[in-house]
Amino acid sequence: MAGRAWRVGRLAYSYRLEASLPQRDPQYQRPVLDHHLGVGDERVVHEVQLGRRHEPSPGIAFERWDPSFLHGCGTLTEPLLKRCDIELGHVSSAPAGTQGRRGGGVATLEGVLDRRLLIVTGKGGTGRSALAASLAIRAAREGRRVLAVAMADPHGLAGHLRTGGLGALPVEPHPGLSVVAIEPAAALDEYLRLRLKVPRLGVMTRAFRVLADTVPGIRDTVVIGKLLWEATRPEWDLVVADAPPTGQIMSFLRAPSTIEGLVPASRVQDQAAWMRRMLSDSEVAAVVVAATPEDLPVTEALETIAALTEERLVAVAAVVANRVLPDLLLDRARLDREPPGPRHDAALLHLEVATRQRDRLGELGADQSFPLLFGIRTPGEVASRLADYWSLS
Amino acid sequence: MTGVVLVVGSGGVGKTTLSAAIAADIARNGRRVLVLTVDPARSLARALGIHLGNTPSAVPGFPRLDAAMIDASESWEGLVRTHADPATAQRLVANRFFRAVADRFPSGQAYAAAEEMTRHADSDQWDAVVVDTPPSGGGIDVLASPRRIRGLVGGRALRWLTGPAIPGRRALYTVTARPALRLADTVLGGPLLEDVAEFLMDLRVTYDGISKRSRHVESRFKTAATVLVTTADPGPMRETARFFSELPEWASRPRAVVFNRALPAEWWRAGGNGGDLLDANLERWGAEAHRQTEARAELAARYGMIPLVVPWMAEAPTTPAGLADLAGATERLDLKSLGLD
Repeated sequence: MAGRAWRVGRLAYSYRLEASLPQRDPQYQRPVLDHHLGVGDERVVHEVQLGRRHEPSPGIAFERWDPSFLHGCGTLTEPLLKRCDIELGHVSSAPAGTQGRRGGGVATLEGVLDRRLLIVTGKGGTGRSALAASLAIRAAREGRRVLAVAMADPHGLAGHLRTGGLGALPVEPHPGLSVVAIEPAAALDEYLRLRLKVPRLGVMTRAFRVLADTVPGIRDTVVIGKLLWEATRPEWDLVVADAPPTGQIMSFLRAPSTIEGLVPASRVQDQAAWMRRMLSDSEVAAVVVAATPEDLPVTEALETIAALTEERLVAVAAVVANRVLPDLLLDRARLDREPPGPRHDAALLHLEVATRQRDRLGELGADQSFPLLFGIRTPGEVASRLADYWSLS
Repeated sequence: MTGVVLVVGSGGVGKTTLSAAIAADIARNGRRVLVLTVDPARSLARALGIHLGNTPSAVPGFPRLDAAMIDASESWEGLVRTHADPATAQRLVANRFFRAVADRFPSGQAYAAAEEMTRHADSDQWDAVVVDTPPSGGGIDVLASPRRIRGLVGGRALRWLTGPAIPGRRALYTVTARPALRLADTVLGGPLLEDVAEFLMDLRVTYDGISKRSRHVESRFKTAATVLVTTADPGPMRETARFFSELPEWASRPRAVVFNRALPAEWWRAGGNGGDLLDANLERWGAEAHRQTEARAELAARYGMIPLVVPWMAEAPTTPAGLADLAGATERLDLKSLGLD
């Protein structure tokens, strides 16, 4: 690249570019910016460099973040670089989230983060992985040493945290943020070796596989155990789990007490009892329940919260709503005067969806809302955007 | 012969609604149709406004449309009672591990769905059976379940414990397994592993029957029409790629790819330069429309299939008639286009 390409290795601390384009809608400033500037999207950034797209307006702010998030800014032009140099160190403030419905003081970000383990769940398609990743990013930004764990399918977390393939060995895409996937076989092996302190591992491993294939509670217990053991390790201040969807999470959370009841007094039972106690201690572990403001995701979220509370399995740290539309601040009379066409249709869809969403949000009573990010293409960008919005208060 | 439509795709893309919509449209066009769901959220029940059970029931006020929700435990009990002698079947059903296998074994629920689909399709009571697949595994779990189930009842794990022959109730454990059993007893505080072995031995009695049956289920998949549902989001797009790569092993190519929550492509850069509220709003939605256009072009380029488009709606239809309208408005979602007429 000609002369002054901004390479990742150039900066000890990395800064993510943000430009303040003329502000039309404060809440949606950032997504609109992405759309204009294409932060995080190589193709579009390249176009910026060639001067084909919008020139960023004055007033560029920077936010300290991860080198890997610089991919999209890898080829910034010299005028921009100069601005970078001038503005280095300016940390942009997080945009205000929408109001929590449960009133102030129910959940603060500090309060949510101040435990060892956060398990993020929600109905399929509500953005669980993105929210788990964003929470991990945010906690790391706040100076905590974080381990993000993919409990089942690792692809979501891998995409959102830009780690590439994830396995049983942690990778560290950013200082202070490590990521790992639970592989059931490796977790079972660790359980036998380190927790049960079983001698003659080879033979026992075979036997336990037979057991785990037949008694699913064993496998679930091993997975929950793995989370809890990581949570007690001094290497991490916080473990964030990208958990299975609400339909499956209860059987994981119930597994330790199920096993405790199934086997007689033994090392296995002692371990299961320890897990049950750790899970139910709200200073150790809690669940973050996510929903999009639609009928079924909200219903599932409320059912899950009710079951968790009733069975006292694990505390609920926060209820979050994802993909929420902002108020359009447009009355129907104005819309009716608008001639037919895309301007009218887009506004009508927005109003209708937003109206339905408001009803569902009322039922959910979320502590925090996250916006629908219009037009953002890469999972990594979604997670880092959402991380800005964690501002429970 | 009854046509089978398998609706697959990532969680949250609208599979359940589309399954019900496809079924309602088929019924409205004069055919008898059954829609089956395995969704634990009972979401199809809500969409159809009825309470569902394992036995198909008529959707009120909508002729020729029946619906059922699969109860995995019930399906498994039926399977075991069909394929084992009464004494063994009773012992299996009463076993404490039985429910765990049916409900919680990763393939237990998926296989129950496959089994119910086959049973109803074989009964010839309907012209078509539409299956809404469970969210985990995006539908691949259902297709792969017959093979996995043969692995379970075939006792691959058990053989290591008991040797190759089907043993009697009091097993002669193999020489390699015996020390492990003793050790396991110490760790587990009792003969849990032996209980499991006995359960698996009973289950193996059903092997011949279930094995034969599961191959018949597999043959049903080969002739089924699969409909793949996706959105522009990364998760569903990833599942779509996975589906296209893994599907040939189990079934024919998808007959249709449905792109749900679609926005008009012309919204991209349709905005004026007025800079007012409506322009700003159109610009946001236009950015999303553009992302969708790229995702759709990617689908078309990679898989050679033009996605069918279902528009973004403020709320999914909540009546059978509304559901039928939805599928009716989408081209090529009828039985004939799906190759089942």
